[in-house]
Order: sequence, then C-alpha cells, then structure tokens
Amino acid sequence: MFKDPRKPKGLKRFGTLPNHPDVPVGPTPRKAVWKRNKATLWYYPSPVKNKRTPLFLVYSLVNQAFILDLGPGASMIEGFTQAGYDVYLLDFGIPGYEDKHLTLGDYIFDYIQTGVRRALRHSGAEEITVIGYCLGGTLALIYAAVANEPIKNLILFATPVDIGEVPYMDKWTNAIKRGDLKMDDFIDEYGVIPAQVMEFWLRLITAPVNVTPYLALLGRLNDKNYIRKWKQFDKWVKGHIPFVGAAFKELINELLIKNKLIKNKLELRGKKVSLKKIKANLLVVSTEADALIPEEMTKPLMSKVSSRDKTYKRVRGGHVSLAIKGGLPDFLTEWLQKRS
Amino acid sequence: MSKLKDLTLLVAKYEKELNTLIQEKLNDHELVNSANEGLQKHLSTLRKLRKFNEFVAQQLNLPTKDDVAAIAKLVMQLEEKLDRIEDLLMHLLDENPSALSQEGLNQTTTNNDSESLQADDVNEDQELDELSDEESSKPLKTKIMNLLSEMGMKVLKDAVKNALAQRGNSGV
Repeated sequence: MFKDPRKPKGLKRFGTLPNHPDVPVGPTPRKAVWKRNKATLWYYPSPVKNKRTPLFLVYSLVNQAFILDLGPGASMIEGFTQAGYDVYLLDFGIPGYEDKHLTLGDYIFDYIQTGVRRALRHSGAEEITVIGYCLGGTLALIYAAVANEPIKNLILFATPVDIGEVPYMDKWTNAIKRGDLKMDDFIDEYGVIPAQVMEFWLRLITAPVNVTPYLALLGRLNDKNYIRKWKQFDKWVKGHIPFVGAAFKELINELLIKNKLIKNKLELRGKKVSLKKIKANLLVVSTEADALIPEEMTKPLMSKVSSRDKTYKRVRGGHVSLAIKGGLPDFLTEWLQKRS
Repeated sequence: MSKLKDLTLLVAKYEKELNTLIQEKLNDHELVNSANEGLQKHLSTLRKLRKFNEFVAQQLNLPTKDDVAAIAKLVMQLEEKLDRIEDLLMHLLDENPSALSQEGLNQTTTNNDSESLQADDVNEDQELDELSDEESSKPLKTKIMNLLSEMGMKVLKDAVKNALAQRGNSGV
C-alpha cells in the first residue's frame, strides 16, 4: 500500500510494457490508389500542395514500410506532405509462401514500373521523383535504369549498390562467393526466408546484444510521448517480414557474388540494366553510423550514372535516423525545392 | 536518475565492445564450415519431412502447402489479367477522348483521380454498364474485344462478352 520512495516512478509500467495494446502507426491520411497481390500504392495528399512533381517512395523488402510514417512528429512522409509534396508510397506488403516465385524482374516491372505509371496517371503530373530506401533504393535504382517513364529526380537513402566487398562478416560472404556455403537449396526448400531468420541475420550484422534502448526507456518512464515513440520504433525493429526466395537468390547470386549491378552486367527479363542510362537528377544519401550499409557500398554509384546534376551527401545518424527524425532535413528540403 | 544515466553510458560502451567481440568470434572459417554442414543436415531432414507430408496428404486426400500456394497463384494470375485489362481500358480512354464524352465518362475519370480503389471498382462497374449500351459504346467495345483477342486471353474475352450480353439482356 505504501509507495517505496527508492523505486523510480513508472517502474511498474516498464514491467507491463509487453502487455500493452498494440501501438498504432501510420497517422498521415492516405488512400489506396492501386493494389496488386499484397502490394498497395498509397497516396498521401499534401494539405498545402505547392509542388508540381509528386514523390514516389519505394521501401525495402526486408522490413515494413510504416517506418516512413511512424507517428506524428516522427514521419518523413508527414514531412513531405507538410512541405507541399503529394506522396505515393509503394508498400510491397508481407509476402507469403505463395509468393516464393517473385523475382527482381517482377518487383521492378510489375510492381514499381506499374506503380509509377499509376501514380503519374493519378497525379496528372508530367514527371515524378523516385525515392528509394535501403534495398528499396537498389530496386528504385534498377528501375530508373530501365524506366521509360519521366523520372525527374532520383533520391537514394542508405542504398547498397556496390556489394563486391562487404566490410563485415567477410568469412561468411567469401564462403558464399566461393560456393562453400550453399544457400540456394536452403532458399528453395523454404520458398520464402522466414522473418525470424531475416531478423537473426540482421541483428548479427548490426547489434547481437542490444540492451541500451531498454535502459534509455527505463530512464524516461514518465514521458508518455517518449514511450509511445519507443514502442512504435520497437514495433518496426521487431517487425521483420519474410523474404521472397526467388528474389533473394537473385540478390545473392547476381548482386552479391557477381556484383553485376555496379558492373552494368545485370539483366532482368532480357533487358540490360545499365546505370549509364540514368540521367535523372541524382541525390545519394548515406549516414555515418550506418552499420548495415556503409559508404563503400553506396558511393561508387556516383561515377556510374550519366546524370549531370548529381549530389552525394553524407550526414550524421544511423540506418533509419532520417526517416524517423520528423520533418525533412535541411539539405533535402533545399535539394528537392529547386528540382520540383 | 543520474546513476541510471551513468549505467546506461557504461552499458552502451560495453555493449559495443561485446558486439564487436561476438562478431569477431562468429566471423570464423571453421564456424562457416560447421554452419554449412549443419545446414545440409537440416535440409536433408526438411526434405524427408516434406516428402513424408506429401505422401500422407496424398493418401488422406488433403492439400499440401504447395497445393494451396498453387491456388493462390492462380488467383494472383487472374488479378494480373484484370490489372492488364484495367490498363488497356485506361489506355483506350486516353486514346479516345470522344468516346469519353459520348458516354459521359468524363466525370468518372475525373472522379477516379480523387477516389480510393473501392470507389474505382464502382466506377469500373459504371463503365461496364455504359459499355453495354449498344448505341453509344460500340466502337470502344469492339476495340476492347479486339485488344483482348490480341492478348490471346480467350477465356477473359468470353467472360467479358458474356457479362456484357447478360447486362444487355437484363436491361441494365
């Protein structure tokens, strides 16, 4: 009955956090304008639209796209719409066993290309800005190299492009490259890589032991706003999704082992993916504390495209810092404003 | 609270070192070989289980995961075909703006820009309703049928034909 003064306020709340109801994410108003299989093209209308060129966002296949619209004040999509841009987000959804046959070609031509066409039609705009995040950036880049659609700007965040030398776990990547570690049969047998396996691999690469966020939470148990944000981010961190087998095999064999993308040797559906064909204004962003996609994997792209207007920006932060910071970073606002 | 802050800083420091240590220990050639062996054994077990599962399912007349996936794939293929038809329709409507004005589809197309998918479905129904009007939509309908024919989708072509005929018969 008596309160123990030595016990920090809200400690009880910390203990019951796992039992709390699911925290909502994705607060920015949106409408679905196109659907295919599990994918949805979401439209986020700007309440203060003042830019002609809409934005088309491509998110990764490894995790869920709601990281781009986590919560009020922690949403990059909200930042874009508040700045006057209409936003289209291609959310690939959560694949199931029945999607095991989907290839990179399917993602590029059937999902991204069709999605861009739908967005252009829906917006009535003459040109579009394509923005890719992480592996979604790689997909956006490949698409830009084969696109017939009018892409005015291409923006890539934390995008792996040159995967010739992976700066971590080199014994494992070398074993895969030499064929000592055979992944194909494993992938074929499973069909889709289970979400838990994806989470396990990514945690091994980034942070196998991760206690600090819990201590940070313990220190701010009386701050409801912080707890909400913490839970929203935690939901994303633990919300890995299965990875489609056929596309995963292509990533390993074509992009990791043979590093075909940066060498302009990748072919999808018989179409050569040449980075030289990219003429859109290009902005490539990498972050200093990104353990997953270091600069070496991203920067070599700059010399491979034909874009006259190209910018490489290295900023402070981790892999997803920019997406959850809220609003838009100044350099992005400035860059986009001039070109939209 | 300051003690907690100190503890957090201390843990953060050791956490980083511990993670580096774990990654270094895991980045080992012998471990890769062991993992590969374990993976092959695991795969062998999985294959045996799958084959056993398929055998039992066959005897008991039950669908396997692959059977269910095959059905899902058929649904996906249908969805893709519908998507292509929708694309063709939009393409045709772009190509033939006079058909739009004749059929009063201008309003529908404008509405499409601001409505959700569900609303689009309703609009598509309206478009089909209007397509079934013999007097006004003959050239557009012929064009669609020709295009579908070119696509080699006989089944869909027949389905659209039947649907239009039924709508015509029911006087919709």
